[in-house]
Amino acid sequence: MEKKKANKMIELISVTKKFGEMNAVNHINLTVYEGEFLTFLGPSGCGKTTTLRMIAGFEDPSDGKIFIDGKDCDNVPPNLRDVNTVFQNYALFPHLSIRDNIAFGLKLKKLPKEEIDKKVDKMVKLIKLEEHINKKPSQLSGGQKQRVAIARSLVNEPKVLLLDEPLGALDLKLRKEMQIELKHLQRELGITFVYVTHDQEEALTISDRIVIMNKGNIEQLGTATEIYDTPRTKFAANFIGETNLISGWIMEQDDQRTLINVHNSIMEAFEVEKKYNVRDKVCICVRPENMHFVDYLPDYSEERYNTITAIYDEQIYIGNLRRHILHTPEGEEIKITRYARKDENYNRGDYVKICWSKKRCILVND
Amino acid sequence: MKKKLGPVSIVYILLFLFILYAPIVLMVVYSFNNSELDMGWSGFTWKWYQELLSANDVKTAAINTLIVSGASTFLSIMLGAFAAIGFHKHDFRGKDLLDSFFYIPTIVPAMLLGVSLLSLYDILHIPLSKITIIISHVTFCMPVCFNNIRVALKGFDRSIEEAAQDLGCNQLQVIGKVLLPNLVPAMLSGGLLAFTFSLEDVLTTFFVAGPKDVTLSMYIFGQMKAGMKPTLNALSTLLIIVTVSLGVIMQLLQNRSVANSK
Repeated sequence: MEKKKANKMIELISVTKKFGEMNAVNHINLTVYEGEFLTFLGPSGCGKTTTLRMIAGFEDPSDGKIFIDGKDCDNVPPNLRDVNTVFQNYALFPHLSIRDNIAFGLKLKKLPKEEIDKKVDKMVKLIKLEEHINKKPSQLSGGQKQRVAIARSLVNEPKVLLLDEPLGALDLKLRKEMQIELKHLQRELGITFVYVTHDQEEALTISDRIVIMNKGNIEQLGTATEIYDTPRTKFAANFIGETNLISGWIMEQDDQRTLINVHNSIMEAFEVEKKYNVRDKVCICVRPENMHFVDYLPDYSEERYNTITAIYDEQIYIGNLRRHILHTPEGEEIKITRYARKDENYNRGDYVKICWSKKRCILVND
Repeated sequence: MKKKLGPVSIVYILLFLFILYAPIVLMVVYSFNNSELDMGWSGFTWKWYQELLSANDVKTAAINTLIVSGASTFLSIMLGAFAAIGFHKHDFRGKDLLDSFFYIPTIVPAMLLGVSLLSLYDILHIPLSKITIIISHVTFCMPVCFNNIRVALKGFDRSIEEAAQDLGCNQLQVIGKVLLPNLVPAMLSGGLLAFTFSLEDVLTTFFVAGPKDVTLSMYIFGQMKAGMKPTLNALSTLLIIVTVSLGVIMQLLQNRSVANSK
């Protein structure tokens, strides 16, 4: 499945972290390749930060093994690991100037002074903070502090940079700018980035691959497009983008098609990869832009589209798009996104026929 | 909306401050009074200060005080800092209990502390000397330093320590390169407070001092028996200047450490 031939940079093998009785991270297996931008995405408490902290060495796994660049990291303290961390609250050293903050790691390595100066200067230039170099962290703004934190880590040329919600404390506009800056920085330096966030938009913007985590488990791993187009679980479908979930159960499956009973009407799905048993409970997952009004679909035919009736609720304008909210007689919410036109004219309570392609039918376990 | 003060309030406050500070002001003024008696102003003079500075027993007492207070302050800062860092870094059984034990010497009446320490030295056959004074002072000065440093550590972001570790520090380097430099203001302000506590202590010192180890506060206390001399006014004035300036410095340091941690 992996297209790149890159080296394995980090390998997690059945890694578990227990806090008391609870499994914060539950037997996860994962490979991070050299030079990629991998993001852990999930709600708070899903285990993403714990996983990152185990890679950094701040937490010891209760079970399983972590390899960084082929080396077993069992009992290796953080200061001896070839990874550096950027913390959410920056964690700059308040008693040191910006220059000394950035030079901190290099000084510990006892590099010659000229070399330290050269590297620090280069890094300061890269993050565009030349005029602030002699200030103390308390004199900088949030965005500048975060740049310093990133520079302080990157100057050590780690094999992997770990970022724990580094933009969480910034306002939206600055966050968007920093996302792009980070992506450029990563591409320029070719360092492997492992990033943690709960913001799906951020994950989609910056990552090469995304790991969706929930309750200590990996729900899905893949590129943004893969996860958006073919979510594997209900959780993944819901967490990345918006989606319509229509629940039913499997009636029949052969190589060509799968029949699903949705509230006693039969839906068809073509080319479903996964094998199901009869009576398995599933959800049909249709993205709002793939859900259509029969009335406004010129090439509609019953052979190619699954059709249901829904009750119209309201519409919401979002820029050049219009979102229509409906619900099924069973109470499931349906969202349809269309380019804003003037021709749809439904009223609250109208019974409307809606449909989706049998080809684009994605099934997830209920 | 804040109301302006009424006349009654103003009179009350002035009276309050007068009662609080009049004796001190009077004492400072009388230290410059040309009369041997504490009655009436008979002209300005430096002579009590001159007499004070030329008196040998005052000099010895001052040197003793510097040694005792200096040493007990230094020890208190060190022990307080180590204890506070230990409390910060580790969780252990009986932590809360130990925490409250640290404060007992500060609330036990000084006389009782003196009596109990004296009997301890007696049981252990430790001869009374400056060292016994220092040990006694550390018992009630250390908690002050400990508390100050502990508070500073509580406000210290744990991830800063993790960042230091992440960038290559081992446990000792984290303490040396990150924790201690950031604790300097708290150590100094705690130390200054401890110094003033040690400086002014008479009661405990009275019990545990050797016959030759007269400190300044004990000297003043002793001289009082012979009646109020103008040199005592001068000495007390000097002590007030020292303690007030220490207090001001401490306040400034604390303000700075608060501003830094933001």
